[in-house]
Amino acid sequence: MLAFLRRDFLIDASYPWSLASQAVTLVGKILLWFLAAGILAGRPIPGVASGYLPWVLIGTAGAMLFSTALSAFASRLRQEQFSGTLEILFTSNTPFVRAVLYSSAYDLARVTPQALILIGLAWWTGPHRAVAGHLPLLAAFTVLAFALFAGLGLLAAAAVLAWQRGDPLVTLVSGAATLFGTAYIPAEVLPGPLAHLPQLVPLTPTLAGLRGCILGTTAPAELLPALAIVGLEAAVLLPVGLTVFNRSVEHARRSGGLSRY
Amino acid sequence: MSAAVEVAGLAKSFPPGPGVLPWRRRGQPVAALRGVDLRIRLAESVALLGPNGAGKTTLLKILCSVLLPDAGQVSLFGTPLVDRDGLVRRLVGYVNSDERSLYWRLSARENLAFFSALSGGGRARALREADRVLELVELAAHAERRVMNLSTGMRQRLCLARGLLGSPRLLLLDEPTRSLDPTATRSLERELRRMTETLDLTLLFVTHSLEQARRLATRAVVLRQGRVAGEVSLDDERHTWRLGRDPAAAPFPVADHLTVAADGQSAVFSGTPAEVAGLLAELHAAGVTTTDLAELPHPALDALLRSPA
Repeated sequence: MLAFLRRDFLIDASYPWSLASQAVTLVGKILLWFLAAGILAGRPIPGVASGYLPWVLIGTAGAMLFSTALSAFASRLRQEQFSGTLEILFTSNTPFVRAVLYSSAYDLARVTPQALILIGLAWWTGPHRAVAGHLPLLAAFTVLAFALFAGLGLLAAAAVLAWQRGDPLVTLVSGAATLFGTAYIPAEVLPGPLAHLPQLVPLTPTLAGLRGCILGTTAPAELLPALAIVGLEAAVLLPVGLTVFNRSVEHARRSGGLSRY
Repeated sequence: MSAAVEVAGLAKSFPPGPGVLPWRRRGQPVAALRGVDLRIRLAESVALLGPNGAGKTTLLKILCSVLLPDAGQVSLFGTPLVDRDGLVRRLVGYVNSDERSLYWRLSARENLAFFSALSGGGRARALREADRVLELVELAAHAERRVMNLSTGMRQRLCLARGLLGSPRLLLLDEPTRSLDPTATRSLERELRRMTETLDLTLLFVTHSLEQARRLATRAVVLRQGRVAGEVSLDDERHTWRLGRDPAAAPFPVADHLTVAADGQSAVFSGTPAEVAGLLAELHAAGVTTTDLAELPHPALDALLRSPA
């Protein structure tokens, strides 16, 4: 994996201002939510017990990790398809599925510190009610969330191999998850039937767990149902993602799609 | 075990592609290979020729397991190639002709170190391996230059270097000198010849150049419409040359292996390069001023390629 991380860091760093622009984007996001939270200050928001700023900062961190995990596999695969390196990776000694997973490691490694900064700010501006019992739950939520996101990412990568275009699917899922996954808007304020949509989005229980653990707004025992949902989704989606991806690789090898774009 | 590659009854067809509008399909499946049989001996150098769409690249991609065949058997070094197993990854180097298949913003050395690291063994080993193959293709002086700043010929050599990582025993090359000028082509051919002689490599390469096949291969296999149309041994050192003469100078004399055309203005000579040099000296001594010396394609190979389907 280190070889992939090194490769992608060197490519990223070779573009002037690439790393600086990422930092500016992060600061911009924080500033935006700081101002929005200022406008909403003093008004009760249904479903938000901690104040809007820490709530939305954790939502932003979760949405960033979710969208990156979802898009990284597909976009890296597509880049390798475009450049013609996909076939070469395929003939290498590294198993193909591992090469695809490693190819997205840099994107996750780049986004994770940004997410940690957001989470750190959320904790700092939050109500500081977390207790020791929240820590193992936080670790469990994090691990299961990554497994769940990887499963979805592999499905998106399979779509790229099968149809050469996975980005519409990724954009649709990522956009819907961000909008209805309680990253920025609590389910309680969504109008009419839309209020039920967050229950269908995998991001929702993950964010409920992260917020409950980091801000301490939910007792550890009350977080167990959300953890069970995330665990169940991960247990289903990761093997499904792996199976569908492996099948799409076989399909691409039969149809010649590895080098087609 | 005396064969590097054994292929029997290999067939491959591709499903019809989508039309311009993806939901409007799209014609018949395309049969790329229709029962190919081929045997390549250890350390043999074989050229794969044939018109566009004959199935040459498809055959190469099946051998390096990028593509799955529909039917037939493939064995590499005596072991059946069932799937993308360790055998291919250990023993086969694949060189495609697409210079874009490199990471252009990385240096030549970083490119090779990355691909070498995929075999495991850590960064230090990957760098050593990268340096080794850079030396082999004479790019060591350009190791730290980014790929985007290299010439097309250097990129092709870098692709070749990548194929040599891990010291494969079978090297598959898909038009290795495509888009190279004649000087760069000859340089790359020299390197390939040197490597096959010193590294005990088995070589299978796709080319459209009869001359290149002659220079690099000991055997040429011609594919046409997915079948082996025939094969020709190129082991013979004797080449065929055509030469003209200055009409103002002396006529061609009678000489061994020299066939003079009816008008007396040109002649065809069959011999080794050394014998051609001897003939030229002989003609010069006889007062003949020669012009337009050119090597003719291998007659049997030329005939095979020109024969109707």
